[in-house]
Amino acid sequence: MTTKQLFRLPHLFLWVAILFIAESCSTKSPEPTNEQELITKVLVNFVPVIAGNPTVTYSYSDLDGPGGNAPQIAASGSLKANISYSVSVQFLDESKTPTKTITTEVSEEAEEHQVFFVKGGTLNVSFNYSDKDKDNRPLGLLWTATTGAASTGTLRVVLKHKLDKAATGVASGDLTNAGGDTDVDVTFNVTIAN
Amino acid sequence: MPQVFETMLQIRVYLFSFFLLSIVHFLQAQELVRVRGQVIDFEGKPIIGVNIVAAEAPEKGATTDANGYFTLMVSRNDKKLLFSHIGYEQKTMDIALENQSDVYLTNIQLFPKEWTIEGIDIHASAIQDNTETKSILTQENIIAQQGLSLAQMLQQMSGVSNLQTGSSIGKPVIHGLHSNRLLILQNGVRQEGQQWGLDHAPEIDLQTAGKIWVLKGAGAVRYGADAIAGVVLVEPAPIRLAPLNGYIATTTMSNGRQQQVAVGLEGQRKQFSWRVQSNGKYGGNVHTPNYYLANTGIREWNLSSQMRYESKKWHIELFYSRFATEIGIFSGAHIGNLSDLQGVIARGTPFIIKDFDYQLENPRQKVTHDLLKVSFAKHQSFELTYAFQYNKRQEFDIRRAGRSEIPALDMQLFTHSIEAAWKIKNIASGDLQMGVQLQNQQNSNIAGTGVKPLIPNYSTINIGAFALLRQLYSRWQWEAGLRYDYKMAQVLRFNASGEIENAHFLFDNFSASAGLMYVGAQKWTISTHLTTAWRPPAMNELFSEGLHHGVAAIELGDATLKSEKSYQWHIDFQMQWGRLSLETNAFLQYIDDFIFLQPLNEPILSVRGAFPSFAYRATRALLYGADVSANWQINKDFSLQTQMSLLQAKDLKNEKFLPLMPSNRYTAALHYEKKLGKALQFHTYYNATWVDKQYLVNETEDYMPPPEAYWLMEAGAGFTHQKYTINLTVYNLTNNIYREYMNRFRYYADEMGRNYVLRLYYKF
Repeated sequence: MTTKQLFRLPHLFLWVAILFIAESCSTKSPEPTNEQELITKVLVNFVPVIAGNPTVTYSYSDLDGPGGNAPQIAASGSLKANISYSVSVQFLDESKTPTKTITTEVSEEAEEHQVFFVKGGTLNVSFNYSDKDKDNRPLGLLWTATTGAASTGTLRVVLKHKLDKAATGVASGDLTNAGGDTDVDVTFNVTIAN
Repeated sequence: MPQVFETMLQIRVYLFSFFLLSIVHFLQAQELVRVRGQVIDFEGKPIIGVNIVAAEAPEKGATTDANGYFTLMVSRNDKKLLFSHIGYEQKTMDIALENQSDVYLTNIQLFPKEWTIEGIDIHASAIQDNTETKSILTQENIIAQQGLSLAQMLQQMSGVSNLQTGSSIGKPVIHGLHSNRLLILQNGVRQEGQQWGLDHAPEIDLQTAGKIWVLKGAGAVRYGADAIAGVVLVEPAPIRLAPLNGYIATTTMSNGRQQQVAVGLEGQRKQFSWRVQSNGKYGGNVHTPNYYLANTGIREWNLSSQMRYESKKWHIELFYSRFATEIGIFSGAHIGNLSDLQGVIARGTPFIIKDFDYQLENPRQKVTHDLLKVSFAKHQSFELTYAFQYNKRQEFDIRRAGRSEIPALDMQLFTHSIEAAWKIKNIASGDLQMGVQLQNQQNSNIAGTGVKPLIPNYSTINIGAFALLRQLYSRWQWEAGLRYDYKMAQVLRFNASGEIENAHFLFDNFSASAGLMYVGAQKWTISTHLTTAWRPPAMNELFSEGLHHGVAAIELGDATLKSEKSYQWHIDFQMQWGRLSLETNAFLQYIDDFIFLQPLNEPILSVRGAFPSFAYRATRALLYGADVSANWQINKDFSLQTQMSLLQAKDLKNEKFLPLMPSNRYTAALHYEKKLGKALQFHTYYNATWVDKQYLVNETEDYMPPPEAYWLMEAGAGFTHQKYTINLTVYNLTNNIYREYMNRFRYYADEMGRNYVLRLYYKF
C-alpha cells in the first residue's frame, strides 16, 4: 500500500462512518407491561356450616410481586374448635383495575391445576376436597374442613400448574409426587380456639 | 506456475487446493521427476527444516538444508507440493510436470503463522492438531462431526468446555469463561445476540464453517476488548474453482431420532464466484439410559449465500446467513420455587417422564439470526466491512388462560457494524495492522408479552481502534498491540414507581498485548504473551430485578458495577520429536471487578414460595491452569492422542471458589487409518474421556453437591472416498449414567444415553 492510498482510504471510511452514526441510534421507548402472570393476593375463607360462628379469612398480599416490599400475611381471627367449615380459595391480581380474578383462570383449566393444603405443627383439623375437574380428580378451590380440639399450627396453601394429577397420592392431597410448576406457595399461622 | 500468495489468502487457497487434491484421480503410471528449489521467508532469508511432500504421496518427503535447499523425487502425476514448518503457515504449490524430468522451483516463500503469539490458535481438528496437516483436517473434521452444536464441537479441544442447559443448548467456554466474555466471529463479523443468557446458545449455522479456530485468552486487541476468555473464529471454506460444484450431506442420530440434511451448491465463472447452502434439522425427545427427557426436541433451518467478485488487486464479497431454530426446554426442569427444586433433587428422577415425541411444548425458545455482510478488500493491504445483524428471540412459558402462545420474552436486537483494517508490510522487517471498528446496537422488547422484561430497552455505540505490530529477527518474533474502546449506552426503562427512567453509561479503556516467540532449530517453538482486556457490565448485570424461572432464583442487578479488567499471561511450548508431538499451554489470569452472582443469605418470600436470592457483585478473580496435548504416531497406521485440561478459579475477595467452572478433564484416543486404494481410506478410533468431579466448590452455596467423576467412551469408523464419506460414530458407547457439573439441568436429570450417529456426505 502506498502512502497516497493510505490517505485516500480513510476518507472512504469516514464517509461511511458518518452515515452510520447518523443512522438511528436512539433507544426505543419501552411500553408499559400489563403483567399477566401476577398473583398479588391469596384469600382462604372459612365459612362455618352452622350459622352463628364467625367467618375467618386468611390473606396473603404482595402488591409489588417477588422482591421489593415484603408480603403482608394476616388472619381475621381464630377458627372455632369442633365445628365444620366450607372453605374457598381465591387468587387475585389487585395490581389491575378492576381486580383480576385468577381463580377463574384456574377453574377453567381445572385439569392442569390443583390446590394443596399442607398442615404444619399440631394443627387439629381435617381437610377434604369438595370440587372436581372433568377427569373426576380434585381441584381444591373448594374444601370442607372439620376442626378438632384447640391447637395451633400452620396451613400451607400450594397451587400447582401442569402437575401429574394421576400420580400416587396426589388425588388425596399429597404433594410428594405431584411435580409441576408452583404458582402459589404461601403459609399462614392458624389458631383453633374453643 | 509457482506463485507467492498473499498471507491472507493463503489459508483459503490452501483449503481449496486440498479440495482439488481429494477430487483428482491418478490413474497414470508412476514416473519419477526430480524437483529442486529453495524455501525462503518473507525477508528472503532461507528457512531450515521445512518439510516438503507431494500431496498425493505424503509418505515420501524431503527437508530443506541450512541454505533452504531441497531435492525431492515425485511422481509425474503429482500436481501439488506441500511445504510445512512449525511456526509458518503451510503452503501448497502447483507443479506442472509435463515433459521435464528435472524441475527447479523459484520464489517459494513461507510466511510466519498469522499472529501466532497473540492467539494460540487451535483448530477444530481437535486432538489431531499436533500433526502437520492440521489445516487440511479442519474442514474434514467439521464434516465428520456434522449435527453437533458449536459448543459440542469445540468441547473436544483442550481448555474448551460446554456450558449446557439440557441437551439442546450449549455455550462454548474457554478456560472457565463464557457468554459476554467470549467473542464469536462469523466470517469476520462479531456475532451479536442475547449472549448474557446462560441458556442462550450462539446463533451460528455451522454449515457456513469451513474452518473454526479458537484463540484461547487472546484476540482482545484485534477483535474486541471484551474477549476476556478468547475468540472463536468461524470462517467459510473457499469456493471451489469450477463452474458448478455441490454436495449433499445427511446426519441421522438414534438418540432423539434426529435427522439433518444439508445441501450446497457453488460455482465460479471468470472472476465471479458464488455459493448457496441450506440445512434443516428435526429432532425429538432425547433419552438418558433410563428415561426420555420430555420436550427436548429441536428444529433448525438455516440458509446462507455468498457472492464474490475477485480482481487481481481487490475483491468484493457479499455474505448472507440466516439461522432459525426452535428448541424445547426439558419439562422436568420447569419448577416453581425452591421447594420444587429440592423435591426433584430428592427424588433423583424427573417428575415428568414422557415417551418419545417430536412435539415441542412450552417452555420453548424460538430464535432467528440474520447476518448480512458486505466487504471490499484490497488484497493484503486494506479491508472495509459493513455488517448488519438482526437477532430475534422469543421464549414461551407455561401460562394460564391460553396465554401460552404469547411469548413471555420477546426481544429484538439490531446491530450495525463497520470495520476498516489496514495492513502495512515491510516496516522494519515486520508488519503493522491497524483498524477502526464502529458498532451501533439497539435492543428492544416487543410489547404485549404480559411479563415484565428481564432486560431493558437500550442502545449502544461502540468505537474501537487498534494497532498490532509484528517483527521478525531470524528465529525470534515479537509483537505488540494496543487498542482503545469507547462505549456509550442509553437505557430506557420503568422504575419501581412506574416512571420512565433514562440512564446513560459511558465506558472507555485501553487494552494491550505483547508477545514473544522463538522458533527452535529442530521442530519446536516457545512463545509467551501478556494481554489485557476489559468488559463493561452487561445489561442483566446492571438491571436484573426479579425471578429467573429456569434456576428458581431471584437475581438482583447493580447499576453501579464497574468494568471488568483482565490481565492474562500465557506460555506455550510446541515440539515435534520423531513420532511424538507435544503442545502445552499454561496460563494465569487475574480479573479485577469480575462480575458474578453472589448468593445472599436471606431467601426472598413471594406468593410462589421462598426463593434463594443472588446479587451481581464484583470481586477479584484468579484463574490459572494448563492444557497439554500429545500425539504419538505409533506406526504408519496407528496413532495415540492424549489431552488434558486443568483449571482452578478463585474468588480472592471472599476467599471462595468461583461457581460453574469446568472440572479437570483427560482424554485418550487411539486412531487407526488405512489406505484401501488410491481414493479410498478407512478410519476408526476409540476415545475415552475421564471427567473429574468438581471439588472446587463452595458447598453451602449450591442446591446439591457436584456430580461424581465419570468416564465417557466414544467410538467411530468410516470410509473416506474422493467423492463421498460415510461414518458411524457412537457417543456414550457404554450407555453410562452420569451428570455433568457444567450442565445447568444437572439437578433434574441424567445426561443423554448412547447415541448412534450415521453421517453421509457426497460431493459432486
